[in-house]
Amino acid sequence: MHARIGRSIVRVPIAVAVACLCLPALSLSAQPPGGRGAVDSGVERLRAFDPAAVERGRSVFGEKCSSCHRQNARGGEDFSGPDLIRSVLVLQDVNGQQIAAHLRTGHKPLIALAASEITDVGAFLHREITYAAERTNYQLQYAMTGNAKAGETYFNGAGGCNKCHSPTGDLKGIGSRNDGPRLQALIAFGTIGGGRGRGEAAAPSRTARRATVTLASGETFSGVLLRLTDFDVTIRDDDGKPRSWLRSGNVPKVTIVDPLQGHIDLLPKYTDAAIHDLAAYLATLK
Amino acid sequence: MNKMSMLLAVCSVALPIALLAQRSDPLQPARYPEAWPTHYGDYSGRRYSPLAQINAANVKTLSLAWTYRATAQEGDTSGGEYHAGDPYYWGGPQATVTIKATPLVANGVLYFAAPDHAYAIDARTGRAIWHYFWRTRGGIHIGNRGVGMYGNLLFFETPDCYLVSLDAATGKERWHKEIADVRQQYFCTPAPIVIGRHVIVGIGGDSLDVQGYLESYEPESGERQWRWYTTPQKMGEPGSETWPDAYSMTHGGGMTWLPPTYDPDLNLLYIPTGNPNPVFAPRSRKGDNLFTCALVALNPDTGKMAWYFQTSPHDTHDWDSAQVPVLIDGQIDGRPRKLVAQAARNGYYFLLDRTNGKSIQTVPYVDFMNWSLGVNDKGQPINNPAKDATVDGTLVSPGSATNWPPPSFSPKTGLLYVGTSQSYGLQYLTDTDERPEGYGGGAVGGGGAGGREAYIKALDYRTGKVRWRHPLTDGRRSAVRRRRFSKFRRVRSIDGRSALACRTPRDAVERADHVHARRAAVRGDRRRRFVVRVHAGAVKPTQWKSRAFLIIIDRY
Repeated sequence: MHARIGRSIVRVPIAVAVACLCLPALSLSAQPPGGRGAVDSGVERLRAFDPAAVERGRSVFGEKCSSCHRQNARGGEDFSGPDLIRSVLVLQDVNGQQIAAHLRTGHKPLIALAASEITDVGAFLHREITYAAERTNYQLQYAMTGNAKAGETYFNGAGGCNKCHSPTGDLKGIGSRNDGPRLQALIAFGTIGGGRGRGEAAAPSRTARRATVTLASGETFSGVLLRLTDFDVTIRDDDGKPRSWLRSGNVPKVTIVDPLQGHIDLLPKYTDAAIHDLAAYLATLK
Repeated sequence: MNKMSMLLAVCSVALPIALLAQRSDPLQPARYPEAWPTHYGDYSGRRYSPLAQINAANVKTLSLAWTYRATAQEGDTSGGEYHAGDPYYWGGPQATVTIKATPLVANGVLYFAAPDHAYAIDARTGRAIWHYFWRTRGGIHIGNRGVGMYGNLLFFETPDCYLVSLDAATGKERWHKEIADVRQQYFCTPAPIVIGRHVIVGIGGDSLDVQGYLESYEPESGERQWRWYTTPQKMGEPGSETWPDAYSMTHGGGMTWLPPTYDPDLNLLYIPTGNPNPVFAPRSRKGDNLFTCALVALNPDTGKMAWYFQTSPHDTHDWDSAQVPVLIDGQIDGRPRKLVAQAARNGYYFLLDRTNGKSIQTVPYVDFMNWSLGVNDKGQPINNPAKDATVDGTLVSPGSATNWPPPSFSPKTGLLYVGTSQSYGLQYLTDTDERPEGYGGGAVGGGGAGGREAYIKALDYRTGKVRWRHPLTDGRRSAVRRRRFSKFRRVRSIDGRSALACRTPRDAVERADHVHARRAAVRGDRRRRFVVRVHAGAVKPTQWKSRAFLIIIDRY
C-alpha cells in the first residue's frame, strides 16, 4: 500500500465504486464519493481518522515497533513480530484499548508507551487496516511503461485509430487533460468510468449510439438511440423529439451505428503492450 | 383465508423434513409443485418447476395482484447483539431494504430476508404476517439470499454474521449464534440450506484475507455440528502442497457465500468456493491455492470432503466459483449418469460426474477469453500469468462472465439457461508489497466499448455448446443494462416456470415481453424503494385454489 516503489506515481482520485455485475473495483471518476451511506463508504471511513493522530501514530510505530513489525505493520520474513494488519487482536481493538491492555500484560518485550501514544498507534493501525480492506480507496501506482513512438505507429497503422481520431483535432491536448490510467480507459473503452452517455441530455454524448428506424411503409427516422428492446424502440430525433415504435420481429427495421465500433473491434485484438504504447503516445499530445 | 387459518396452515408444515407433511418436500419437488421449500426450490439447483399454468401463451395476460413494500423500520419482533454506544464494524444499519432473496413458499406464505430483516407475507393477498428486525453490529450490507426452513423453524444469516432462528408462525426469535467475527471483516449473505437435521451455513468477506468455512448447526438447539475450512489448516494436510506456507494458506480466503446443492442418494452436498486472497495480488500465494475456486463435495453429516474439482486453479481475477452447481441426471454416451454442471464466472462451463468429481466437459461459453491458456488434462483451466493485474494495467476478458444470479435447467429441453456477459476491464495491481493484503488491486472498465454483450444463453448440458443466445438489448445498455439484466435473470431465477417457457429464442422474447409489461404497469412508481410484486394470471384455477401466481422481486 504505502510501499510505493518505482518512478513517477500518479495518484488517481478514487470514488466509491458501487458493486456491479462487471468490473466494480476501481473507479477513475474524479467525482466526490456518493451513493451509499457514510458508514458504508470506504472513503468516508478513511476520512473518519484524524490525520494528525495517524501521523503521530505512524511516527511512534516507526520508532518503537517497526523493528519487529516492519514500518507498514505487516511483518514479514525478516521480522520477528507478527503481521498487525491481519492481527485478530488489533482487528477487535476499539480505540486502542485492547492494544493498550496487551502492551501492559501480554506483549514481549514490554514496551513503554504513553497512553496517548497507544491511542495514536491504534489510529495508525486501524487506518492501515481500513486502507487494505477498502478497495474503493486504493491508489493506483501507475507508471507509464509504454513506448510513445511505437504507440504512434500503432495509432496510424495496425490500430487504425487515425480513421476516426486526429492528434491535432479531437485528441489535441488529451495528454494534458488525462493521466495514464484515464488515457488507457479511453483507449480501451472510449469512455471513462461506467457509462457511455445516455443520449438523454440536451447535448447527447459523442459516444451515444444512433439508430435509423425504417417503417414498413419505407419511411425512415434517425436519431440518438434511447431504448431498444425486443418489443419497442425509442430514439431522440435531430429536433430533440423522442419517438417510439412497437416492434414485431424485425418490423420496423432498426439499424444502429455505434461510434465506439472501432474500440469494440480492437478489444479482442489488443496486446497490453499496445495499450501501454498508445497511452505513452497520447500522453505526448499536450 | 383469514389470519387464523393462515397461521394454522403455516403450522401444518411444522414437521421435520423426514416427516414432512402435506405441503412441501425438497426431496420430492414433483409431488408438491406449488411449494418452494428451499433457496433453489428443491435440492438440485435446477430451479425448475413443473407448474404449467403460466406459459408462453398466457404470460402476456398477467397483471398486478398486490404490492408489498418492505420497509427498514423496526419489525414486529426483533433481536440483535448491538448495544447503544457500541461501534459499528465496516457497515451499519441501512435506511432502505435491498431484496436479493429467493422467497420460500410454504402453505401459501412467502418467507424471505434482506440484510437485518426477515418477512412473512400471505402469498395470496400480500398482507404482512410478521416482520423481524435485527439490530446489527455492522458488516457489509450487500445483500441477503433468503431463509432456510425446517418444519416450523426458519433460519437466516445477518450481515454481522449471526445465524438467527425464528418461529415461522410468529416471527419470534428462538436463538441466534455467531457464525463469524464481523470485526475480522466477515459478512454473511447466504440462504441456509437445511439437509436432514443439519442447517448448512456459509460465510463471506474477502476484504482482508480471512479464511472461508462452511458450517452445520442442529436446527432445534443451534449447536454447531461441524465446520469445514476451505483451505488446509496445517502444512502436510491434503491441499497444503498448493500453498507456499501455512500463513498464506490460513489467510487464503475461499468464502462459501453461495448455498450448496445436495444429492440425497449419494448424501453429498456440493459447495462452490470463493476466490483466494489476497485477491488481485498473488505473489505471496504461489500455487493452485486449494480448495479455493473449487467445487467441493462434502458429507453433510460429518463435513468431510468426498472429492473436489478446482474450477479456477490460482485465481487472480476475483472470480469466485460461487455459481450454482446444478445437479442433472442425464445421459452421456447413451449411459445414465449423475452429473453436476456449473457455468462459472471465469467463462467456462464445467460438467462433472458428481459421484467422483471427474471432469466430463470443460468448455468456454463466452465468445472471447484472454485470461486462460487453455485446459489441462484434468479439465481445469490454466491461468495465464501475463494477464494478472499489473501496475500499468492488463486488459482482461471476460470481466465476469456470470455471477450469483442463478441459472435454470429444464430436464425437458436439456438446456441450462445462463445470464452471461462478455465485458472487458483493465486490471491494475495496487499493492506491490512482498506481503500484499486485501484485494491488492482491482479492475477499471466494463463501460463504453468494454461493457460488451449481455445475453441469455441456453447451453446443451452434455457439451456446453451454446444452443441459442438472446441479446439483452437496450439503447442505454451500459448505464441500465445491469438493471435490466439482473431483472431478467431474477425473473428466471425465482420462477422456475420461466425456464420452461424459454425453450426457443421466441419463448425468451415472450418472457421479456412480460417483464416489459410489468414495467409499464408500475411506471408511475419511481420512488427508489424495494417492493415485492405478485402477478396473478388470468388462467384456469387449479393449484392455489383460485389463481396462479408469478412471484417477482425487483427494485425500482
